[in-house]
Amino acid sequence: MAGYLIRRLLLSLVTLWIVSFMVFSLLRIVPGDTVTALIADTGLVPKENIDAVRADLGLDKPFIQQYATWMGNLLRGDFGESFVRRQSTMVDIKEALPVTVEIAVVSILLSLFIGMPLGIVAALRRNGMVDHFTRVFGSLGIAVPDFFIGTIVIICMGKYLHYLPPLGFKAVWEDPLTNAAQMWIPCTLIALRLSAVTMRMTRSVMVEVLTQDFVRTARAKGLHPMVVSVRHATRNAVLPVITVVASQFGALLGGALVMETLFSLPGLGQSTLTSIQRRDYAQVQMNALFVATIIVVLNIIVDLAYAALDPRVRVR
Amino acid sequence: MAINETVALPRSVPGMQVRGTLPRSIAACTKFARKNPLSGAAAVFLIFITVVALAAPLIAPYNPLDIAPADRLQAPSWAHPMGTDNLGRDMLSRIIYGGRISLAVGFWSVVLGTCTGAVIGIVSGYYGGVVDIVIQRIVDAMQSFPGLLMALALVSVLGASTMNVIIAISLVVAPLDSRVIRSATLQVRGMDYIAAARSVGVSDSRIMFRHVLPNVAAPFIIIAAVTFGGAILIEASLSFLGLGTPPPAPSWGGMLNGAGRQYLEKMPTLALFPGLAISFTVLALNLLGDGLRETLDPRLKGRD
Repeated sequence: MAGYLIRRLLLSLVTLWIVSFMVFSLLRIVPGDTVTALIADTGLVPKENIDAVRADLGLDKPFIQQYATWMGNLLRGDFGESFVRRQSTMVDIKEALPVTVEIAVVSILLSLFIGMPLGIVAALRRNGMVDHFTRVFGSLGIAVPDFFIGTIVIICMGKYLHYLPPLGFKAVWEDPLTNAAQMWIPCTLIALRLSAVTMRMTRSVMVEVLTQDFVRTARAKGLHPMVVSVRHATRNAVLPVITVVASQFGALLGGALVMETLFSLPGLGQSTLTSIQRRDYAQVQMNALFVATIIVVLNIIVDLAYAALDPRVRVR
Repeated sequence: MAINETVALPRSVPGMQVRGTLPRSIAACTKFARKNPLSGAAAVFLIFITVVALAAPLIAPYNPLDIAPADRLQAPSWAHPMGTDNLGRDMLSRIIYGGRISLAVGFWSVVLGTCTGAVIGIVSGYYGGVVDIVIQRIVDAMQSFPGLLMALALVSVLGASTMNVIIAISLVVAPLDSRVIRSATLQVRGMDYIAAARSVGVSDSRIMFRHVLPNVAAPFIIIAAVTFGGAILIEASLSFLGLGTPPPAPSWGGMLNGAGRQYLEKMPTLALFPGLAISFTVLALNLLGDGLRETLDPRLKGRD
């Protein structure tokens, strides 16, 4: 187990190193110069100072040296300075993180409450009412784009119910009521979409588990059907669902870009989008690395959860 | 060469003639549609929108780019069945032409992304060992970004155009699809016929493309259908965020964004039709994928 963990951690470090290199080089193979674009876009700096700005941002040095400097600083805990805001890139991330984490946690929990029970019932009563409903809902939830649903909801709410979520984001600890009023629509919409996937996954895994011998054995020895479905079947069906939910969670932590845009929520997706538009590559690369780190850590946790919940994995 | 004959043997076994003649494929399609009526309907719908998109110049009543300020923001009528947008452009024509963009993006993303992913997956799964470890690290790294964000970053680096959107989407889907093909390859690799081929000295590349590839065709077709739909959704989302197909080109996602958004409250059909077009197309692709999965995945056979 310890050996497995160490191997897993080392591989993850390699992955993160590749991520850092990919992000860094991607942002620097841009045709045209970052600084000229930066100046043209923001108009903050007079044209004469281009060389000075370039030297200031360290962009006049060779590529490898720039990368080495960035990596070296990172390892020493210096996350670099944003090209535009001229403060640590961590400031932006710290501002955006509470919004993003709130959206991610609330949406995932909500989607589990909707998706898991529906998926289980659909598998237990195949071709029943719930099963048909989950099939339709499951297909629609994946196909209908979130920005379409979001737009329609905003139009309908404004036009027919005269209700609009309050503008100007408030954190939970500042103003819980305003925060809830801003969050409930986007979170519900995200959750509905996610639950379609969770539900489909739960159903198909449950269907597979229910055909297995140990379920038949449990039924044959006269256990109550509820006990069989909950204790034997559901427990075994949870593992693959965890993988799906973890990847959904990781994607959400990268920022629920579309929902943040529609409902003006200042999350990580917005931060990255704005930085991309401003060509603030220091910020973009830090956001990307930050999100990648979270996703890699999540994957490790999932693997450990697998090992903890399923003894067969440990033997491998 | 007795050895070579043994390898060639399966082809000459009675009842295993090469399939794919036209009447046979039509019969197979009818059987598929009868067993999966929803997927059959989805396939018919997809053929329909493909024909409409290809024949757009013949079908579309107006030029999708023609601005007519006098006719702006009209409700659906006989002259404009889906109404007009804030610049007086005919919505029906824009939807028809928009299908060209969406279908092209889906198609080329599958050709570029899924096929690259398949090659990577087969190589990685077949060779295993160091090759597999190195490739999987890179795949891991590429999967450590949420897909939409990665596509967004790529497009902003490459510049917004339909071609660059296709490249970006291909780079997003290739690692995902390679995972699926890799695990299918791992299952095939242990089969006796692979060992047999190897023992008579068939080269690795020949084994991969003549023996492994046909046997991972089923998952490939399934993920191709799903990727097609996913690519359309990503393109639409990018256009919605203003970084996809640049205006004035009529992209379904782009119609829900930008200058049009402020007019949506006045004329909700402006959002409704492009949104429905995306939803139905992706829904049809997913239903087709579901049907193919049920037909092609041997593990699901014998159920229901």
